Amino acid sequence: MPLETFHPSAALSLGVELELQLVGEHDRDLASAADDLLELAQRREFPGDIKPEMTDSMIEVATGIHTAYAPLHAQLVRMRDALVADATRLNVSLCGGGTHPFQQWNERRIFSAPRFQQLSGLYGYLAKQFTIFGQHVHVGMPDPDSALRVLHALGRYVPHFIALSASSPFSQGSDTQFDSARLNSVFAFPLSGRAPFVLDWSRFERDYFVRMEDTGIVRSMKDFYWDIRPKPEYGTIELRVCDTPLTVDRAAQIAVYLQALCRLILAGEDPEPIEDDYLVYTYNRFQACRFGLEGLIVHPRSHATHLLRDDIRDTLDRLAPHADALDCVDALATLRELVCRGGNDAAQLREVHGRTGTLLAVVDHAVGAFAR
Amino acid sequence: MLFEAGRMFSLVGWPAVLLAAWLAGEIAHRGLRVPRVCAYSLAGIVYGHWGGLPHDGDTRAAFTFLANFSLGLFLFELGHRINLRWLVTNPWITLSGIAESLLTFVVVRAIAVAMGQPADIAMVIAALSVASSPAALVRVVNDLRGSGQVTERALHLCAINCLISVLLMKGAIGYWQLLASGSLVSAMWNSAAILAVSVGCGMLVGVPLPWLLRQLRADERGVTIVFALAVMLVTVLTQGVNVSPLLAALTLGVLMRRNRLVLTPAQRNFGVLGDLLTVFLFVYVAGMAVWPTSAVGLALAVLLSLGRVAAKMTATAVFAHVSGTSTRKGALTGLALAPLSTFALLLLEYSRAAGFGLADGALAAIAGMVIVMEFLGPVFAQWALVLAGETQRTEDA
Repeated sequence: MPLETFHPSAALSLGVELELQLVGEHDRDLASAADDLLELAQRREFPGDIKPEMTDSMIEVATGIHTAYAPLHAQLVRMRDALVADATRLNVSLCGGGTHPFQQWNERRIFSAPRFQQLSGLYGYLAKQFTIFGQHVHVGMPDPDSALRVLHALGRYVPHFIALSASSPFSQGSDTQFDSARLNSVFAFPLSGRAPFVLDWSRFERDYFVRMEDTGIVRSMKDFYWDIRPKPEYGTIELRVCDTPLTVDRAAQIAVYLQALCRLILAGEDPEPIEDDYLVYTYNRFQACRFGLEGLIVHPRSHATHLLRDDIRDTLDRLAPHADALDCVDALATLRELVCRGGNDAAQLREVHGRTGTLLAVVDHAVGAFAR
Repeated sequence: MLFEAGRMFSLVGWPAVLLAAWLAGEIAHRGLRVPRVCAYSLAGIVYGHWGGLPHDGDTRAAFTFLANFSLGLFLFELGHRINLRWLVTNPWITLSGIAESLLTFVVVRAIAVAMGQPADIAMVIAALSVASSPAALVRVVNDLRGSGQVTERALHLCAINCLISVLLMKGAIGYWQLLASGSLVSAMWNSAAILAVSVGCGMLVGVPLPWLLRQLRADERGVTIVFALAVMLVTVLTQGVNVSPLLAALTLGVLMRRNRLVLTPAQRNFGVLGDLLTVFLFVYVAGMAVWPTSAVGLALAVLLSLGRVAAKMTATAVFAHVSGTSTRKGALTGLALAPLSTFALLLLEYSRAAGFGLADGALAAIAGMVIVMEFLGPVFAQWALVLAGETQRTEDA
């Protein structure tokens, strides 16, 4: 299958996908309820897109295409309310968070659909360990070359998104000491990581995709689990490093942070990306996963060390005119408040665990936060 | 001396039978894909048929206590899965539980009367048929790691139909006592006060317990042990004042859940303790069953069993769509309710001890149904979960 033609889309249009956890009411373990929830969603006009994910304790919802924060947020709230209402009828709960704190991966069931069964056959236990929950954000790009340029320029900001969304401190019953343990599961996949450094779409297609396709390893862009990947059929780039935040508010704020950053890059306010930017990429990404907002990242050009918290704050300051133009001043102000004074969702979950001593209370908190 | 030797032999026989039952259970589960509890029941029926059950009063009392305790653990586990709020926010679940219970009562009673049973015995049989076995259902669900709507609904409906069954039974006993003694006070005492005192015993232990566990900051194993001891405590307490230990254990479970104190996934079934007591419970209860003595008895057993399952499936299927699931899953929920309550037998045993004259007649009449459903009930429940796709896939088992 050749690489799909890049269909240019309205520049900076936005779409958000959220993978959500389905947890049981009685023990707060993951519950198999995806097909029951889908059945109820089909009975009504669901205010968005809803589909199954790898295991049957996960559900993925997606918004339509938006250009501004307010309508995006409003749709996320409508979807959330509809899901919570349906889940209540089924005696299950929904929550965000990149991992479930204490689910045992070997108890998961692969959703009964051919694609998931085939992936499960290929990846074995990795597929079940992939019971992790992320937020994906699509941003529309005017043309394929811009898409690649923005994709690589965003590389330096990937730690920001990891730290801001991190909500997976616990995994398999233990505190992992990471703020985002979820990404450790993603890195296990052979086609994860970053996109190859190519800035020209035709070269990307000819020199990379076609050659990879010839090896028989991949058939479509879907087979790459990169942190950011182009999505030619939508004309977007897709950021995939975020944990699903605990609230839809945070999900929407993170989406417009990306939108504003893309606007800044498209406006030429950032230096052109070069391959050497990636020298510090995995190290910075690790710092963000491990320490969240307290991570220390190395600037790819100056090689100076910055606290992630400060780097995000400085970036938000640079984004001010773009936030104005995109009508998301308040949303970014909330993020600024967070990086200046607060902690991310991972810190919140750790605080609950420290106070109560149980992971059950951690899931209770996540369920409450999502429905609020 | 000879008497002592005989008693010794019958006691030593027990661990051997339990071991054989456990082995048979593993073969049934792994080799034949039949629920373990079916094999336990088979072992019990064989052993009971050989006269293996203890005959002297003391041992019998000890065994009854142990059986009540084991069943109490299951009812606790059932109780702690019950979400009372769900029964209010989705009232159709509650309504389908009531409808399913009443339809079962009516259908089974009609069949029993049509087959020539006296009206009062038919009423007792019908009341007992309403209840699904919490032990068999919880055990099948845990063995298969069941999770989904059929599982969730079957567990909630099981709690509802057990409660209604107790009410109907107490009603029947009350009615019988009214006829026997002419004393309305005595009848009322049995119907209402026993319920209230049973629930009260559960609350007596269940209300201070969460506070204690919070003070201790007990880990998951600690919580499990405290739960087991609490169930033992209510069993002793309720047996002491002659009320239902099972309702008290159910109450205790519901209370723990409301306080967000639950068995963690690793401690489902009360771990190894629960596994061991399950073997004992099923062997013991099945050992009390008696074979039907005639072809008519066997025909009655088959008809009652069919009518009972059909009634449950019909009611749950009818209420399925409106309560938020598919008609197919609704019907499967009814099928999952097939296991006949072992606690029906204990209830009857208890009633017999309390001087309920109809108990012997009813026990003889439902003997066949008990035997049929002891095997088929858990198998039906397993089918229901498998057909609903709510079990661990076979390649993982």
